[in-house]
Amino acid sequence: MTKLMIVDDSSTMRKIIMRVLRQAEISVDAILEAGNGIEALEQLASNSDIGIILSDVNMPEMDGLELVKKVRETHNSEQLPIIMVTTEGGEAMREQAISEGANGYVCKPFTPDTVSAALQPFIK
Amino acid sequence: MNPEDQVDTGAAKALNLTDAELLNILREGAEEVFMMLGAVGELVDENHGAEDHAASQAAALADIAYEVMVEFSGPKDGVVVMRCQESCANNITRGMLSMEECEPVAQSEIHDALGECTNMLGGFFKRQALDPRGSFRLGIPKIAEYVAAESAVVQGSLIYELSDSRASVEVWLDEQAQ
Repeated sequence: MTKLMIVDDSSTMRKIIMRVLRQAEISVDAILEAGNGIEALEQLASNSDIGIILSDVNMPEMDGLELVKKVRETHNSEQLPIIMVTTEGGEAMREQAISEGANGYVCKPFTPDTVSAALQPFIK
Repeated sequence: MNPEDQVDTGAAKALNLTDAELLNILREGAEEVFMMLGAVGELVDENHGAEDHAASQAAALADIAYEVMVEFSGPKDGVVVMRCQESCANNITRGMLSMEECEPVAQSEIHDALGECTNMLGGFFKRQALDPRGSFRLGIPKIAEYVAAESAVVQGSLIYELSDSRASVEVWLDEQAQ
């Protein structure tokens, strides 16, 4: 089982992702939330058992790409997979996210199947 | 109006798109977003930016309560706009948050939900219509601001009915970009 963290500045989008996880029947121990990269790093510092991160790209304070960079200073991509969830689905942005250390990419709007396909390889 | 019957405008050509292609991209984006909300939107009007657009839209979409726009900038500048009636905004928000019909919806929840909807529409439009034509950036959703209205021209609009209330999805281009 896995503890999952959703990082998005929109509380609506965080709720939608939680609903989609239920619809996709993705089973996790707990779901934590953060509104930007800084909050995500704080959550990670106090919850060392977080097993996977779903993160938006465009956020205030610290964006998703910066978050990936910071997380990769302490966790490699096998220890803590990060899936980006964003409207910015262009090839350049996708390549940048992967080169920073993201494990996958989901474009909004998404379906339960899309989210499931991105997450299942990393759910323990 | 059937998109295939329309005459291509110089406006849509500013993005090297035919009017039919532009409307198809808008339609696909709107329908993907509605599907994600668990809603079914019935298309009741579409327009490719003809001169009588304002009159046509006013007749099909009265009592607009919310207008949300996401700006795009790059080789061409413009906005993707979503406008909706009060009850439609409530329905969209309840759908996005999985709320019961009787639950009250807070203004902040409506703003966040409509902002995310428009953000997704803008993202879809960017991927499908803009990215193949250059390097573009999307802005942050803005609620109830007509920032581009005086200098922009409607390129295409679709009006949907969701549970007896209506919303429009539109693309505007800065007229200097045409």
